[in-house]
Amino acid sequence: MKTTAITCSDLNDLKTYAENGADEVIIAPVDCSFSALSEIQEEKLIDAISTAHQEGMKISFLMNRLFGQSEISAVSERMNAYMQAGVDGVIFADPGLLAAAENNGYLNRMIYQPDTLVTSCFDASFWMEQGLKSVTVSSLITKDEISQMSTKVNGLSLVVHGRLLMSVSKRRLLEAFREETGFSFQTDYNRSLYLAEEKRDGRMPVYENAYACMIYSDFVQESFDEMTSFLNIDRFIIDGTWLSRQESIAALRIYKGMLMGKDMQEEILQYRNTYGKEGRLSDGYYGLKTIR
Amino acid sequence: MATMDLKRSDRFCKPELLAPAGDLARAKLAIRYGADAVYLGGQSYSLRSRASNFTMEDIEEACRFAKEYGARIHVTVNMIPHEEDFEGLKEYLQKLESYGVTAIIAASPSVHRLAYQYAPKLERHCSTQMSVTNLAAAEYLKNALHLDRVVLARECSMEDIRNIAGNCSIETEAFIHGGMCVNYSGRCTLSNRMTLRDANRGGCAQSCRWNYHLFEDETEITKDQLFTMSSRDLSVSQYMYDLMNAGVASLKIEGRMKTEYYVASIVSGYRHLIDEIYENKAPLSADRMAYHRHEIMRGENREACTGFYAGNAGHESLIYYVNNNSHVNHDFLGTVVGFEEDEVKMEVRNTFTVGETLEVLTPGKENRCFTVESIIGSRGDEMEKANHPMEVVTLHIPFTVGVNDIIRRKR
Repeated sequence: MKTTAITCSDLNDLKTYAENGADEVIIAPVDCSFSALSEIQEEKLIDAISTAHQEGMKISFLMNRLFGQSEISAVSERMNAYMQAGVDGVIFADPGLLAAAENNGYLNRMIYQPDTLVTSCFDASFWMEQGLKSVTVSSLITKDEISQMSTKVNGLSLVVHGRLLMSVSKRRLLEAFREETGFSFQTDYNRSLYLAEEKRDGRMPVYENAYACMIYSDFVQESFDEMTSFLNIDRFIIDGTWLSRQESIAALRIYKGMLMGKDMQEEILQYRNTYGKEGRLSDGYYGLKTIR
Repeated sequence: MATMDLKRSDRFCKPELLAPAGDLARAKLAIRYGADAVYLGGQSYSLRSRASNFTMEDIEEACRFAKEYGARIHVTVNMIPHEEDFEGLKEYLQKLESYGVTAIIAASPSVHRLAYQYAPKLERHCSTQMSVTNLAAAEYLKNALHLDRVVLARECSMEDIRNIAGNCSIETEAFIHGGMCVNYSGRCTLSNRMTLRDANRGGCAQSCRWNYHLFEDETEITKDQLFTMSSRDLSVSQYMYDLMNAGVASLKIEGRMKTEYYVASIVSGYRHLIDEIYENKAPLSADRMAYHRHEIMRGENREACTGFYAGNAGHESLIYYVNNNSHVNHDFLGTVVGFEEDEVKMEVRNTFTVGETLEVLTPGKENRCFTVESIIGSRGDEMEKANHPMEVVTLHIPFTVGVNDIIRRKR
């Protein structure tokens, strides 16, 4: 079964996402993710699992940070608790979490999503052979490469919509810059900051928290035209981290409709008219082969 | 978190000094100046593709030369491969094995698998592109990929390194010197976006070091100074005793794009430091550490920092201004191409004059100085100043030197 997964920053939206075709919601427990997605407090996570299930959706937790030696043990324990509470998936990048998952029999709920590292069917196969639930393909490869990969490996995920995470630094780059220059601005958890390369126009969201400074793409990845090539992908992710709630829902409805075989051309046109101004939407690297 | 019980660090060890080489000449230089091992890239499959000038014949020759000195050659196969990059990879790995390469450094699980299956004599080292920051990750990957060594992420603190190295069932390798990605290695696509050059396949354009306007909503914050993310280079000589005491198997110098002078100076500096600590079996005095640090930094042409070794890499770890270590480029004056009795023939790289005090770097020896009494040009003419790059000049020198020794300005 082909499924849609959408990020969720407000648990009040769970019902709405279910009504609009989400098969899975992704939420971020506090202190566990490299993402600007709003974090959900620990005490609300268990309720979130049962609410999502009541709405007929799966729920996954985003735990894609790289954890230091002093952190990995406690994070693994938290993950075990989430698994026992019935979370359907844990999205991770740190192989350290796999040790705990293996020991406790949860490998089949682990989703490997290292953003950039899975660029061939051979590597995707390796990770799936570890017994994982899914592996998320890198957004840096072309449509044809993704398509070919998905015919050879089952269980793949793909971020089809949203701004792409372009870089992650452990350094507090914004804080350091403020310290250097004395410029006055809020660095932490500020969702209003953008970078624009000196000679380019595109604005890239930049977000910093206690663990990382992250830069997102200046465009919103949009895959409506490519969906027919991706029919062997199993899990389609809509990352609404930098999208409005309305835009996320509009995108979700379109992808779900397409997966159900509906003609969504009218909705696509409307979406692009509403959200596609000034080249904001892009097919990313689908048609661009990066060079060495 | 309290320090874990260490299994390995109860034995103080002399680690491998692992040096970079962008071509065969630098590989030989690094080995002559005391590297226990050199890592290099072939013309395919490696990051730093612009540095990878090693033909297969070069790699074979590097292995032969290394063997002569009891050193080892590691080959980076560390690109994050796309489908087409696997073409010919099996045969490539088998050739490396047949040449006597000791290890490959790779991130892709499939590359490790291929090596395990088709070139089993090669050691498999897990590249820092995998960002291993904890023991559980190292052990998982070791079991899944039959690894022999894991290269720790530059984001590890000394405490992390101590705990991982001390408890890991395979060897660990840590970076001690050289350029640092400001982002987690392998997780950055700034170059891809700005130039379409794939950072994970050797094309990084170092877009992190470019300038950026910073906005808060529609208001520009940056006015007279733009935002940048340029990291200082890493240099952790002050942690050397701790690293050796932690049982880290290999200490890596970064810099396959760097010059011969950088390779010789940095390798020589760390060689002397490691040897002296190992002999002492104890931390060195402040004076001796200052001496070694000075010697190491003679070859470093960027500002340096200790990265994450102390825990955080903050404001002091970044460069916001024009780098001011440019004197390094003026220090390297040339290499010895011949020696007879008390006369040295020197290939000139930088200008110097009669009366200046110069210093000779000879592998395995303390640095020695002499004053330039006269300069005889390639046509036999006496000169006050040597200022033609690549000209071979003759100088009087009061001690014996060897071909390929480096001559630099005394500072």
